[in-house]
Amino acid sequence: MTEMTVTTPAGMKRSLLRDGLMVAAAALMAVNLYLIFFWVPTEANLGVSQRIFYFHVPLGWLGMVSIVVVAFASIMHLITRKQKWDALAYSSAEFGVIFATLIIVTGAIWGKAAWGVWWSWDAKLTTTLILWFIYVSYLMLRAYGPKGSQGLRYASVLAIIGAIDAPIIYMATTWWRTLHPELVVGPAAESGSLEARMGIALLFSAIVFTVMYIYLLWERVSLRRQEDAVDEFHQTVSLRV
Amino acid sequence: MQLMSSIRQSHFVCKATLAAVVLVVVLAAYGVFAGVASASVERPQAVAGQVIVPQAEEGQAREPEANLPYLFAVFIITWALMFGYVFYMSRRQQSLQREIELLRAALNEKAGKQANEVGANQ
Repeated sequence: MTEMTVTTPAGMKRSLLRDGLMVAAAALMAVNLYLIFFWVPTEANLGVSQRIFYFHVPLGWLGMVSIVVVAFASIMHLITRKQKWDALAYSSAEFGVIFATLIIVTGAIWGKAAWGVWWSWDAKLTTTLILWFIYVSYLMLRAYGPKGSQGLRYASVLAIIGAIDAPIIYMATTWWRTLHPELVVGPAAESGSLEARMGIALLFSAIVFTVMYIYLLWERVSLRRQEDAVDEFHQTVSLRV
Repeated sequence: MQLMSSIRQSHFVCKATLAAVVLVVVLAAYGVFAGVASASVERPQAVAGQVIVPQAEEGQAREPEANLPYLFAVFIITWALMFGYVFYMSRRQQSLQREIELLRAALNEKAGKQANEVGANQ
């Protein structure tokens, strides 16, 4: 039995914390949408399409965080052999696919609005597409690769290599002069490159999306562990019946 | 039994509420924003017999509300995918619960049969 029951005090505390996180994520998201639609000024050149920025950039951030989480959890699983790390790695990879898909889709739509094209083989876009392929490969390897510890090792190595792509995506516009706008947030960005209210809204949006990610990841990890527990239960029943 | 209690029962309602809240906010924002934009920007009047040509890309970018469909496409796709995934998780949880009930029934049936056999032997 791997999952903590909700009837124990610790289980109830976790359950309350998880519910609280969900309520916080919903409330913060409502505020975030208000800020994006009503509070932030409209950009002069791009018009309202610039508001895609407040979704696109946090999704990009989470796409990169997810692969780092997958790699970290994979390393921890290789070291400790504890099932919870594997559940975390797998769950984060699933979210990674969703975020990477959304980065590409939202970027393509914004690209059409701003540049007049859906896609360009720009360094940032291409490295993000590579990240998407890494996530998909990871999940395919888990589903169809060798079973047991060998498959897990292969997937872990892929995740660790994938994590190297995250800083490359971030630095792509600095290392290669491309169509994609220059960095406006993070350690490599120029200070003052973003209007104050836009910067606040972007930061807030990134925090809200991160809270939502933590909550959903928690739910998914819990579900994954229950799936593992049901598999164990199946084995027990097949042995007894 | 312990496993059954570990399956969290009804987050589905909470998630549906979250979905409804976000959807209402987005739709309200769309309504208000589109209303404000259409009131503040002069639109070209259609003249009988005149063909209305779509605006050039550059021109579109200059008008504040010209790219509104792109903005809402992004928001709708993002939320559709997110809630689609949450829905998948809820369904998976329900199917796990059904699976456990079946397994428990199989175990109880087996235990009942064994008890009957022991009783008959005695």
